[in-house]
Amino acid sequence: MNKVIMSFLTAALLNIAFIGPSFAAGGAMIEGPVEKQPLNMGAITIFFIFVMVTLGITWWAARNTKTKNDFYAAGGGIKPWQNGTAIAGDFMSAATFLGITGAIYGFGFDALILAVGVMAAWPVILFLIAERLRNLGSYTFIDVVSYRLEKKPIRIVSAIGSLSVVVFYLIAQMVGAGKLIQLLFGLDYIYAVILVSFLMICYVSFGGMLATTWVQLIKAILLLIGGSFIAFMVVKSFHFNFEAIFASAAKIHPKGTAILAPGLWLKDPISIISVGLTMMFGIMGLPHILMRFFTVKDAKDARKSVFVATSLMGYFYILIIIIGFGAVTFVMGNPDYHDGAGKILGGGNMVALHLTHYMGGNFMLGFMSAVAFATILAVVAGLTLAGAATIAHDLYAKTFSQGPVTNAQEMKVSRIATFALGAVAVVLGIAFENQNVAFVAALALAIAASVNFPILIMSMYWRNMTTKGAIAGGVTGLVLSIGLIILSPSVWVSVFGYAEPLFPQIYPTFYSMPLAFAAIWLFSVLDNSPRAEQEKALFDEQLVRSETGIGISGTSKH
Amino acid sequence: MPLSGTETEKCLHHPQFKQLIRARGRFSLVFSLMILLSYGLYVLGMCFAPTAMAQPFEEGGSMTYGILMAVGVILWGMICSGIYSWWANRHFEAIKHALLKDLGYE
Repeated sequence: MNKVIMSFLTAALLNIAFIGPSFAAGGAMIEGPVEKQPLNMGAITIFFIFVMVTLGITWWAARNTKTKNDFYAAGGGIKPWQNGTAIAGDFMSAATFLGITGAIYGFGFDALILAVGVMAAWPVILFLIAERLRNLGSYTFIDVVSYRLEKKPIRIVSAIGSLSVVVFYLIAQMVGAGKLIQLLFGLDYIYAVILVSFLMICYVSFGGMLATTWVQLIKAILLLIGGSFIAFMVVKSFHFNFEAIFASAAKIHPKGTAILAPGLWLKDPISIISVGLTMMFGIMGLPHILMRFFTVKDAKDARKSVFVATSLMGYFYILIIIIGFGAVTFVMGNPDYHDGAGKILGGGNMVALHLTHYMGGNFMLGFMSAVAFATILAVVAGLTLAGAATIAHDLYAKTFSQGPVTNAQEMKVSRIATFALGAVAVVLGIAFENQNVAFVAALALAIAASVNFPILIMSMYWRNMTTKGAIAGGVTGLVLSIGLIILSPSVWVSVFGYAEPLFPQIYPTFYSMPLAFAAIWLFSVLDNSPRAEQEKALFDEQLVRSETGIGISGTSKH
Repeated sequence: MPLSGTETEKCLHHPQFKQLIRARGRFSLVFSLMILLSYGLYVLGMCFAPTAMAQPFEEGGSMTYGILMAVGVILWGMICSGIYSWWANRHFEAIKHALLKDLGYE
């Protein structure tokens, strides 16, 4: 049971809560083949309108996307409120709404760490990372890491870290998308995966960052409206008495008051700390999130956008807490949402949508189903853009090309990369259809926390980091996070079928992240080469630029 | 565009640059510690004091200390980012612009 709970929450964590083994509170999760639903016309109509509007925006964005600076960073002309809403949109995903709600419904308090971890990460990104990132980089976080280090090796190592996160995250999203669409709209899995990939390629390859930001922005606003409505209805049903929501949940839930306290999911301190570290520091290493800081004109706007993002996310997570505990009262034990055997219809991830239906009827259900689909589109578009930027900018233009690359060449490569990533997403989405991919999600965040984050933060703040140190740290983080996850319950037991895992925790971060930092330190200190001295000396220039922004690229207006 | 050595030196030893570095460094460190401390308390509380977190906030009530802490960390994050970006955008930007003007970049 513990394993079941763990993989459920792992999945919820990375927006792929639609996959995973059966759900403890009754009802099968969407694992293996799911039953195709009859066509839901209301949801399809609303989704069709969303697609039309976003394609219109893409057409407009395409006319404003002429240079690589437009493509990767929307010309640096995004306003702080727009960027902030889009950042929040990256976290207000189908999985936050469906997955965390489902996790709270099943296990209560322990699931809250998934929301709290995000809210602890963002302020620290603001205090330590946002400003320096904006001042030092142009399109990707790898620009910042390679600022004073030897370009070629460090770009390759960071690009591997960045692309691993993008690809693992994409697999998780595609499989989740296919299952969700099958369930909500009654479309075949394979068509659903192709449709998602097709729309994503349209947004990204034509509209670049400008279209991607707008798609994310519109979706975030729709989700906030829907979520506010449901949470308001829950609070209203309890006559605006918050205490009563929890009291009623504890009375109805089979675990009783245990759902209001720690212990139902995470049993030992190392697991808890590992999840805590992965949540907080993994977010600081997500390439598609870090990329958004280059879309605003300067450090001042970067700060404003984080404030907008943090406020919207905080508000949304509080709604989720109300919705999750409220769902226990209105969905659990409601025969309308359970089959004859007492299993919840559609599995644990449908809890939020059942509550939506209970509170707002068929119209609201159609609306929120369409928004859930839109959410996946927006997130995969952002991921693909980050992947394309890494391939075209970091690898092609800055590492492997002989001689200077023109704007047109780099744009062409980034569009080819977008198509390739879209195709990879379809192929892997189909290959993993009936697999348990919960581990893929854990892997993406663990790599972000153990590879990207340590290299990034040390390159910004530690004068004595050298290329050798950064590479040693990156490789250590990468090998440990992948290796330990293979030996963990979610792969060793669930995928390979061995009885006992060789590594007991689902997250390797408790070990992999500190060891990555240790390797950076050790190999930097031991590095006495002349190259290392030069890199340390360059820190002064980097410091001046990171604090003042002298020399950063200009902006364009839209 | 990389900065030349003399440009870097000139800025690095400018009193206003030193002031900016010191003020901003201290400010962001204090704020980061406040967040890390609250989140750390919450995570370590789950590890080592689960029974304390399970206690209801009011006698006979259902809202536990744990839930209040979770909501507290969320609100605390919102408040700290608000204060930081408000302060930084006024205070640090002012120092920075004075510095850039003095160095002839603006």
